[in-house]
Amino acid sequence: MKTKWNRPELLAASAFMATGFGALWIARDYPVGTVTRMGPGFVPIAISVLLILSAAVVAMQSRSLPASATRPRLKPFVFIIGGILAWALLVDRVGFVPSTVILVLACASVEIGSTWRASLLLAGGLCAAGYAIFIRGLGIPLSPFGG
Amino acid sequence: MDLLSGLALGVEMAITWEGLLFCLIGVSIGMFIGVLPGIGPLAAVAMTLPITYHLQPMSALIMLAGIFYGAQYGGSTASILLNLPGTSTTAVTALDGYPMAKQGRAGVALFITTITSFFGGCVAIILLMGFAPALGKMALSFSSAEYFSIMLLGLVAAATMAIGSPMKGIVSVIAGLLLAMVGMDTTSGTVRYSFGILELQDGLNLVAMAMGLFGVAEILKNAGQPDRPTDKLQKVRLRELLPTRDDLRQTWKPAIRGAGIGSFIGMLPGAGPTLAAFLAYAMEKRVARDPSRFGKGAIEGISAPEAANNASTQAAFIPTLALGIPGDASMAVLLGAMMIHGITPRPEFFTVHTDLFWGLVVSFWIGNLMLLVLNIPLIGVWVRILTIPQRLLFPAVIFFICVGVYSVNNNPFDVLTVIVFGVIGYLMNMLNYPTAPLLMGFILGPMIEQHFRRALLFSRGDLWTFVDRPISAAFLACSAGLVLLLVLPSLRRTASRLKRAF
Repeated sequence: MKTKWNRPELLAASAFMATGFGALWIARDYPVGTVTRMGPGFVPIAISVLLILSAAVVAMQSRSLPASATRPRLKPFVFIIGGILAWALLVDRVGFVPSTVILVLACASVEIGSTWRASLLLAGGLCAAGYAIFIRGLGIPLSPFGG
Repeated sequence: MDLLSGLALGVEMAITWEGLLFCLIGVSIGMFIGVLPGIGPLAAVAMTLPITYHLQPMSALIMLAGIFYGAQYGGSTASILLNLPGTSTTAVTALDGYPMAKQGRAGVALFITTITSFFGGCVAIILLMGFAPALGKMALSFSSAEYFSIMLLGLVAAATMAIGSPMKGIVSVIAGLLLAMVGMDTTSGTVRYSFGILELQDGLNLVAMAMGLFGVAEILKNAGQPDRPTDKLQKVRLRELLPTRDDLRQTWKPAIRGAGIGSFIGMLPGAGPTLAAFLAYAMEKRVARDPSRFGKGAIEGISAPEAANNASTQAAFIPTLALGIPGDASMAVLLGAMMIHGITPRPEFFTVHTDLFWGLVVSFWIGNLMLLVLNIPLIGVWVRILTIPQRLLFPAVIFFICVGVYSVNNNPFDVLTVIVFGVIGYLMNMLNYPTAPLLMGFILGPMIEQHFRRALLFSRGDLWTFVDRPISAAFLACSAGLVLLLVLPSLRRTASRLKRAF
């Protein structure tokens, strides 16, 4: 009898296994110590091995699973992750207001029924709220414009 | 300290302007988040964590706790009116709540869920007042071996009792433990898995991780999808809230059973309110004289799970406060928040932080009362929250996640961490790997390693120390039992398939 591998499931389990192997590889530099006096390497190695083993069991089980994963939708993913990335990289350089406007416009653009006008208004409102709560209120060192 | 003087101290701590204010803010945020489908209490707590750094520990805890139980009240609103659970813990409520709404009894359903939530909460708080100090006293005699075994049980329970594949839960919890290894090892001072990045030497940021896994990942899943069909929303008038005498008669017994199940599940480390609600529903279906009524608007089908999920949320504070072992992922985040404030929940909690414990307990009473008031007369306001479109809500949530995380260390690096865990969480959700055990593993990781190493140091490397001590052995046996119970069937399936293959 031939069973078809469920590819996304297998991929996910392999990713966990690869993480385990990677962690094991890095941990080779940490002293293991003895059971009485464990070094910093003992527990990470044990956990890595457990991760590899448990992920291997899931990989074996995945053969019987029906295709379950939904296809990822690329546009929301790219725009939202891109927006956050832009905010993180820009906020120290061009300031709080411009990076927030970029973030809000990027996130709003993937939603059904969003308009430029409404999104810009939202961005403005959030900038004001963020300025009042975080910059004035909690005193985080960000300037509204410029680095 | 006896109950009465404890309560008196708690009243003194919690009934201050500040305490009342933050209790109200907490339960309102919880209600708000609970009503909105797609954003859970974990994301809400992660978003408000940065703000609590600037508060006194007492106010911070009152507010964060309020978010958790507030969300249990709010979650049922969307379940009943839109057939969409506001939080995962109220998914069961939709089974009979939505049919009730279709029969024009939405108001009654909302009233009943509020009352039963309140009842469940009260039962669990009474248990908390009775059990937690006693448990804490007992735990004073615990050594590292016991702590290791209890935490192991917590992790195993979190992994295997998650809804879905238990094996994937185990993978998730172990991955969380591995993530906890990032940063400096407290015993030797060695920096592990930092990849030469300065920011990673202190370990991964809990807030950033939680916001990625529960905030960004959820939004990635729902973004760009059509809005909730709010045109189906009914107006709920105050008059329609009142249940008939028959409704009440059918409610009280299931509510008592639900509160019992919820309190028990909540006290177990690792098992959370979602499981409690499911079990309570299953139980009602079993004891009912006519099980076919379920799914068609049976009132027991909402009163038992609603009492159970709120009871479980409150009872989860028992292991969290007495032993420092979170009852579920939400408690794990709360535990993280307490540690940030320099409070380590452990047996000495009651002797060192007696005031905090009783203050928190009194705030639970106040908060539950506030929720009762917030829910019943103001139900129309909460229903209107459901009409906020995603195009306004989601960008705002993402924005608050970004600034909130940034403000923890004033460092954009943490925002990058959010992105990484947002993507990981999104992929894990897509492939049905539960993300809550990952967080449990991450938070318990450093503690479990420390106790493991210390226990073996004291026993001079003798692994039997975990079995020689009766309490530790009992917890280990429970963990082993759980694993066997859930892994055996799948192992047997694999074995028979292998047999067929050859």
